[in-house]
Amino acid sequence: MIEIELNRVCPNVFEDIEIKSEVWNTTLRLDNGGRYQIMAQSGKGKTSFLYFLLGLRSDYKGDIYLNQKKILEIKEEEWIILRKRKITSIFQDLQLINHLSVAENIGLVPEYAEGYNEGLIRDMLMEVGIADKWHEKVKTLSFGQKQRVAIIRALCKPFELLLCDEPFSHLDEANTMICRSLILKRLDEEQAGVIITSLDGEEGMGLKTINL
Amino acid sequence: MKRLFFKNQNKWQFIIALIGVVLGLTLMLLAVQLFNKSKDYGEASELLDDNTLVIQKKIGRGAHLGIGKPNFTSLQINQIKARDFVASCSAILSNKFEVLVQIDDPIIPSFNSNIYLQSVESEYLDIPSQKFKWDTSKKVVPIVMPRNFLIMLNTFLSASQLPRLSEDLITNVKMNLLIGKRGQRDVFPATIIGFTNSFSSILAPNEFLNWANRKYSIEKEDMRSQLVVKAKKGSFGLLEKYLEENGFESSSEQLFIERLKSGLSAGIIGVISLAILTLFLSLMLMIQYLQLILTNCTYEISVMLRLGHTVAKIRNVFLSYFSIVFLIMSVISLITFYILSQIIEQKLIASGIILETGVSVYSILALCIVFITFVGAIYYNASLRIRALF
Repeated sequence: MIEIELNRVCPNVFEDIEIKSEVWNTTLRLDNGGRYQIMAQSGKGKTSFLYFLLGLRSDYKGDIYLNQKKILEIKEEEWIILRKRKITSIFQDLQLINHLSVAENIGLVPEYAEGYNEGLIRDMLMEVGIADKWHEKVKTLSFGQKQRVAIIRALCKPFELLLCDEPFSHLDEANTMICRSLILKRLDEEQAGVIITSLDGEEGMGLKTINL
Repeated sequence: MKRLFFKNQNKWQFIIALIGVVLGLTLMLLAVQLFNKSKDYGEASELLDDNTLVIQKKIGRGAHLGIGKPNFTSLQINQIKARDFVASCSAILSNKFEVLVQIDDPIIPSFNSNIYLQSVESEYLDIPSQKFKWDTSKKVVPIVMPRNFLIMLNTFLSASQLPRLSEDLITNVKMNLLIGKRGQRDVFPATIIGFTNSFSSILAPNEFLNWANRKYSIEKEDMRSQLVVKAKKGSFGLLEKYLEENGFESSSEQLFIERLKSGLSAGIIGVISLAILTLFLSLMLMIQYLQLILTNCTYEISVMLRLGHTVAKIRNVFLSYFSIVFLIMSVISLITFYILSQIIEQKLIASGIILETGVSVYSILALCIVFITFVGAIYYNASLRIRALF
């Protein structure tokens, strides 16, 4: 169960700027298992918002609560459990290691979801059209292919909340559709919530829109 | 994970650090071994402490005419004691009777030799004073043997095609002191309780020599022709000058040994300093290499942490890698050290000095201390840098 509350949160860089937002400088509650998309143009703080939720940055004013606990008070060992079993992420910069193969990058996941193994992961890669890249070094792939590897790496582990930072930005429409349905399938399997950031909105995923 | 962090790293700095570690460890092992073994040999305490000399008056032609007696008077002894550079001074008591040492043990051929017995205060000997005591109720006489005597004995054994005796072994050999005139000799079993380099005669407890002098000699006056003088630390040069100015002498061999000891002690200190410096620099280089890898792997470590890996798990990859590398370097150093110590041992035997080499507990202990320090430094540095990326 992951429940998020924001209480007058504002990134330090926006402190002196008057901004109209449903996220910054207001109170916001994101329910457990809820499916949301955070919509905004570039430079409004979409990536910052996800980094704040993951505890990777703390350059903001106000308070963010994760299951009623202030994020800044969450201890290292609690973050380990959260990152390993409860929150999974697809980063905008993908966070793949270029000199490792697709298999090795996926192998870095410390804990697979129940029932997930190499066979199922290969099936997922096949679904998104890159099954033949299993042994290829990531640096040899196109950005779109890398994006699909990052999506699958995020989905093959247990989670209660999926954070996606513009996950389909470099995919064509056909691949975007495939990846969307794959994500929805996994969300259902894990009964998890999702927060997706997007420039112009993701259609057909039944997401509640929040304007940043 | 090891591949993730260590592949594509520039190995040159690492190789230089490894060579330094092997060199430093080998030097350290040699220094510890030399220090430890020379201590076993009875040298180290003297090497690094006060200097002791046995002195006597220079004998001129007048001595034959009864002018310029070789004996020291109490006044003369007190004058020497009063010098600033003298830590202590005491007369050496000598035997005034005929005495032979006899080796009576089945493991070596029978051996008899006329000897001199002397006695000094136990403070000049590196043995517990309670062991160096005798009274008339005891038949066995504790003795301290000059190492020169052991070398002489080993020369005799080598000539007889027999194995040499170590210090440990000779303490178990049955030995007798035969006292008195031929045909009327009393036998006193003797047991070796220690060895000395400072005196060239066999040493017996004061009580025994006094008792034997009274019983077996008709001379009334004690011979005090030799003194044992201990110079204060760092004042050996002053003592040497004083002896020269006042017509006293010490055997040139003894002076040479003292100078040799000073040189050797400086040598050992030099090797220890060099070992510490080399080890310090090479271990610093290793830690710098670790920091370089951690900096180069910042991205990879961040990814691992974001995926849910623990700081401990990532740190342990570095810890196990560097520990294994250090252990391999330790084995190489031990082998190098063993070969070098064998060469040194051969050279020493050729010079008549028997130093039992081999890896001592102290060497292993020194190695363990360096290992623990190194692993501790790796643990601390890796934890700090990885945690900063969390």
